[in-house]
Amino acid sequence: MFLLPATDDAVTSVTAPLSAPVKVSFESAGRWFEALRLRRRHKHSLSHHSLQSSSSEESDNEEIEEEDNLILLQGLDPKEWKQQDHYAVLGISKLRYKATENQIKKAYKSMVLKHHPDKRKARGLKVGDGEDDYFTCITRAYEILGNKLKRRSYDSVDPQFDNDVPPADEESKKNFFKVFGPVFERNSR
Amino acid sequence: MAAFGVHFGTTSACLAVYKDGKTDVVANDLGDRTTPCVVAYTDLDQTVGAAAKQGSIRNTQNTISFVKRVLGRPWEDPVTQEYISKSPVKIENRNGGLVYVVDFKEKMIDATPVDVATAIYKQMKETANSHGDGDIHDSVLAVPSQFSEEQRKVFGECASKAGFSVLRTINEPVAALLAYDLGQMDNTLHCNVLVYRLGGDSTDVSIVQLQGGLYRILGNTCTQEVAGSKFTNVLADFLAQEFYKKYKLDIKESRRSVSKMRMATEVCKHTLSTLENAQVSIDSLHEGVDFHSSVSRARFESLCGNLVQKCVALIDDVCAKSNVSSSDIEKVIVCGGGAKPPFVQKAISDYLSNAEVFNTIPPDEVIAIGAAKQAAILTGNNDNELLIGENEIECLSKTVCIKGYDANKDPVLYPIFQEMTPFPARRQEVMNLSPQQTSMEMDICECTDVENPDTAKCLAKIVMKDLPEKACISVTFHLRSEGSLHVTCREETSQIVEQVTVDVCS
Repeated sequence: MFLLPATDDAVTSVTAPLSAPVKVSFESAGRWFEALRLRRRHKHSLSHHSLQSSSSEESDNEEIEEEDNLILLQGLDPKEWKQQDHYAVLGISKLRYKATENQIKKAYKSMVLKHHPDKRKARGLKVGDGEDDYFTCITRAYEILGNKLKRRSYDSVDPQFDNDVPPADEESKKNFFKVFGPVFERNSR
Repeated sequence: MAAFGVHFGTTSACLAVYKDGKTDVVANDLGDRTTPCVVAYTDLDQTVGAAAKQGSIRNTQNTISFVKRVLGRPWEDPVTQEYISKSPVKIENRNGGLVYVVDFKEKMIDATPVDVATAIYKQMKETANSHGDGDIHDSVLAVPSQFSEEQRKVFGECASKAGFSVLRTINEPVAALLAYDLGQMDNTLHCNVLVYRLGGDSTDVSIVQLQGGLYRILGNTCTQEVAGSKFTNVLADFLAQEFYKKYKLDIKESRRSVSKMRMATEVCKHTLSTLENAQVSIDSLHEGVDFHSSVSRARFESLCGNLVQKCVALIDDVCAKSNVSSSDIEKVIVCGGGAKPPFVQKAISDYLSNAEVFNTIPPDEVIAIGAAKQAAILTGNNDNELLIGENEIECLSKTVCIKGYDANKDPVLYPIFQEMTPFPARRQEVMNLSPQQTSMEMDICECTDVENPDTAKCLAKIVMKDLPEKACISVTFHLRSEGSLHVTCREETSQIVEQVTVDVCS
């Protein structure tokens, strides 16, 4: 099908209204009817509504606060890596066992970008020899926390875990949820 | 999440489930895929289904069947009166509604049709439970299209009482279309579908128009003259005659003999749907005389010649009622238990020889499966309740098209929205101009006959000038819910835009 070129005096114009609509009663069945019905009910135009309710992937995008742990890192002894606080090394000491796998991965990657020996050399900083560099500690930390099983065993003996239970006195009985809520939350995993 | 479709028929009920993208029928505790809609009251308990049906020979006056026919109907209704005259169960009038008076646990009690239907729904619910998926049973019911609002309401109430959460009640012919996914995948399909439901007790023939994914029942005819039970009767009469010829005994003298004969005949009829030959053998049919015989399919077919003719005649009837000629029917769906005999299906498909026949799903399960598919569409939505008049939708009365020219510079019409397109709608087209063309004009018209450009009435004209070479114009047609048509033309490279709004005639 072709369209003709416009004649000189032709302009965009409306000449007649659309014929009056007819009301038709349809059967209330089928997905197209359902889509049309919901669209009409919510006064949406076609573009606003997609048929499949898009199940957006659960976002894991909680921003991780960057913790400044340069001093901690520089003070680390690679030989003593077993004693270190892995969460603190990766800069997520506040999240601890609550950190999701994605957050740990993200934290590790950002640490690598900052502290990799090559990066630091390029910036003109002093780098330790091979195994002696504190970067090893970061890799070790990720080796533990990046592995589900190892992370679980580390979490279960986490030295930083707050194991305190407030005393059951008059005061705490009054504000039971306020006082014990966090305790239950900590111990409920 | 599982979603259920329930089809409560006059003679039998069927339950289908949609789960993990698949629809299937749920077999009841006996392993049968359909449950007879029969409720029996005995001195021990209340039984539903096959057990009740089997016991009916000895317990005729306390066995209630065909409850669907009277459920939700007042006493004065001719259908009710006819039902009462035939019923072996004692029926009384209470406040304008009927109640069955039955002997239950050695006491006479009243059972309303609602009680009976609820008992059957409860049985279905148990079947649903056995499928094991928690206690939420989102379901869709299917009822005949000629049912009144009152009847639909009563059905819904019975199902809710039994523990189903009823999302919606849909019409049986539409459920049949859904079962075969007609128009569900591709909403551009436009055709007329004949749904032939040959049930146990009545026959419904409907023509459903499918257009833009939406369904409209154009016409429907319902009769009790042809039905599964009539086929059984013909065969039973034939066997009774044979018995009479052999032993000079008339089984009609005894009600129990007649029941026994009917039971045996029904089994024989079912066998004949799959095998060429079937045996009938009844011990002590009448006055202690045993009866053995065999029937061939050909014999059964010749006996039913009359009935099959009536079946076919119904197609003409429904065509006349819905103003559709039988050659305009493109698809046929055969459903209902009575449509199982191969010669019945063949007669229908021979009569509508240019139509595509759908019969891959077992006929007595089609409607339940369709209902389950509808339940799957609805389950999980929050606002499923249908408001009054919500299924009445404004549609275009004429086809909207654009007028273009073919290679010989003769005008042609290119349809954008077919007539009966519901509001709102949107469509996008891409037009390519010839390479050197730098301007264009486009007429938007409405017409009733796309083949005949002279009859088209021009609504608006869109003119675009100073376009770059090799222009590519995307045109968006937007039919708004209030009825106006909005057209936007955009040239892709230069972003020149030209738009126009055509109001609706008030």
